[in-house]
Amino acid sequence: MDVMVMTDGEVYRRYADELLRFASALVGPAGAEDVLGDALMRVFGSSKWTEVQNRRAYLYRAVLNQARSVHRSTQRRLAREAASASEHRYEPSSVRAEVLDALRRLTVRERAVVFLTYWVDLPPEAIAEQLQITSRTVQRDLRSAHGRLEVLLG
Amino acid sequence: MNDRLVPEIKRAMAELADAAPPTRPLDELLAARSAPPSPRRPRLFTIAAVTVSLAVAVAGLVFVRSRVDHESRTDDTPTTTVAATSTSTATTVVPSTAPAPIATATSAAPAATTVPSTNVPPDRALATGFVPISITWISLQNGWLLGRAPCTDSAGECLSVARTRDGGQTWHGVATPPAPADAVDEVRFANEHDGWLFGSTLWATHDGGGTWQQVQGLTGVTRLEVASGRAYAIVSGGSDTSQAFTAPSSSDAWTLVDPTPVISNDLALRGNTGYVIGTDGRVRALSPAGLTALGLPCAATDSGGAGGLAIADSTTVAVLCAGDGAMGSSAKHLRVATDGGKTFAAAGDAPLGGTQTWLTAASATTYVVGASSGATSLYRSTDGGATWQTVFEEGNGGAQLVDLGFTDAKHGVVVMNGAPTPTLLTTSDGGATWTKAAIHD
Repeated sequence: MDVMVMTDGEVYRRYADELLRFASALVGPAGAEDVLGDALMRVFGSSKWTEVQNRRAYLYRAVLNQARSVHRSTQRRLAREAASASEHRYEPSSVRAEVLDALRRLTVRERAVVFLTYWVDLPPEAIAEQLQITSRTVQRDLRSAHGRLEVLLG
Repeated sequence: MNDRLVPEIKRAMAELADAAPPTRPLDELLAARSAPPSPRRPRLFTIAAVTVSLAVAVAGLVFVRSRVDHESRTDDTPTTTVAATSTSTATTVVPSTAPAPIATATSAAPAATTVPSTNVPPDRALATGFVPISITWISLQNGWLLGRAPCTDSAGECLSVARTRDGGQTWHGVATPPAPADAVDEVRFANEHDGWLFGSTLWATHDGGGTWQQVQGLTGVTRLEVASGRAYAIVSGGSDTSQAFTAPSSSDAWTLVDPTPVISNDLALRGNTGYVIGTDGRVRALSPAGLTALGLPCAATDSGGAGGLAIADSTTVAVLCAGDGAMGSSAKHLRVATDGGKTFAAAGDAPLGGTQTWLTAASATTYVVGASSGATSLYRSTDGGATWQTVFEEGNGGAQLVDLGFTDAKHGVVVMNGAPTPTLLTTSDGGATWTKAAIHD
């Protein structure tokens, strides 16, 4: 189906899973649904939404923006929840706690770029298109993330 | 990044994604949300925390322009006239946090139209929590800062623009485009009237920042510089497809300079001289009439390619060529041409620390290299690149060095944009020492 003629509900059903996983990577599973819900409310309420050509990219960018918005105010809460949850919910036995902690110390956009690079295996140009930022920004964020992760996990 | 870490990062990301809750029907999800936040309103800024006094403490210190190539209104004479091509005027409203639709710059000249935006009136106080991300100067006294600050009426960060008329002793807020906080990354002004904010979107003002208009048709602007009344921008179209565009500084009539693809990060202007680097690695002279291929600065063994481009004087252009990067280090070879970019010769090697690099020149003999990896460093040479000294170093996890540049042989500036907090660094002794500057009203 042409995404341009889809209803909001159809767009949501098509992309909800991947957007929720993306949000979870950015703010943790505890805040993922809030971030997605708030992002969707803004998108569906926007007068420009019906004119958007790349709706998937637009939604990714909206989730990223929303994650960045809530990051500052909820950083401490999420860190506590994540630290707590890591013992019981989603800390994998194969991943060191320090790795999760280091990822949490990246900026939200750096985390988004790292997620799309290492989990989705997208090249910088595709990430740039998906997040509607420049390739330069993607490469800059990735280098910055690498530098910080090396320092933290060296 | 250390290869050992990659599998762990992948597993960690997979675990975080897999831990997402199951999706709910849309109506349930939205019903659980509260009403959307109100639209962003103009905000009044209050005084930011002061940590270090600006240059007033140092006799003779005057603030500097962000780049050596910025020129004032007195030089505002276009080198070539380009006819305005545009005029469309549909009103646009950019959602406060949802992104604006992305237009794609094509190889043809875009319909460089501007549309009115919903501007806010100028603020008169600096935003609380203002952190700088980019700086520009049109004279020793007049400059603008682009920054971000906590929104006053909602969570998250908002764009903020501040200006000074006293060399950076005091700053006050001015109008800000209704764009998401990450829609632009840098600021440039040509004179008191004409300025730009650029990044994933491009915004222009022609009334000194009183109002901003989004320039339609140009998105993904990675570099923008202005000199002699003409602005040039590098517009990214993806891998190997960045191209140079130009417009008179007083208009939004942007036209394609040349279809030749160029590297997105390197653009240097000074007076009527300008250079970019083609994707074939060759330096190209830049003019409104097109690009002219010149010398090849980096050797085949410089696997990192060009990592900085600077104009030292009217005939001297320098390129920093990077070797293999590993464990936060990379070779940094300075190659200099004194014949307008035709033939490059090895001038020396900057220290190894840092894999991401920036280059600027204070003169034909004084160069400063910025480098970032786990730490952020500034290296300086006063003998044309033969020997280097570390003049600034901070173990901050690696910052971006934005707008590293000199106005004259003594005065320079850079925004250290990264952890823990973006910081403005200034020098008044040709880059021998760099001081963290406070930003306050």
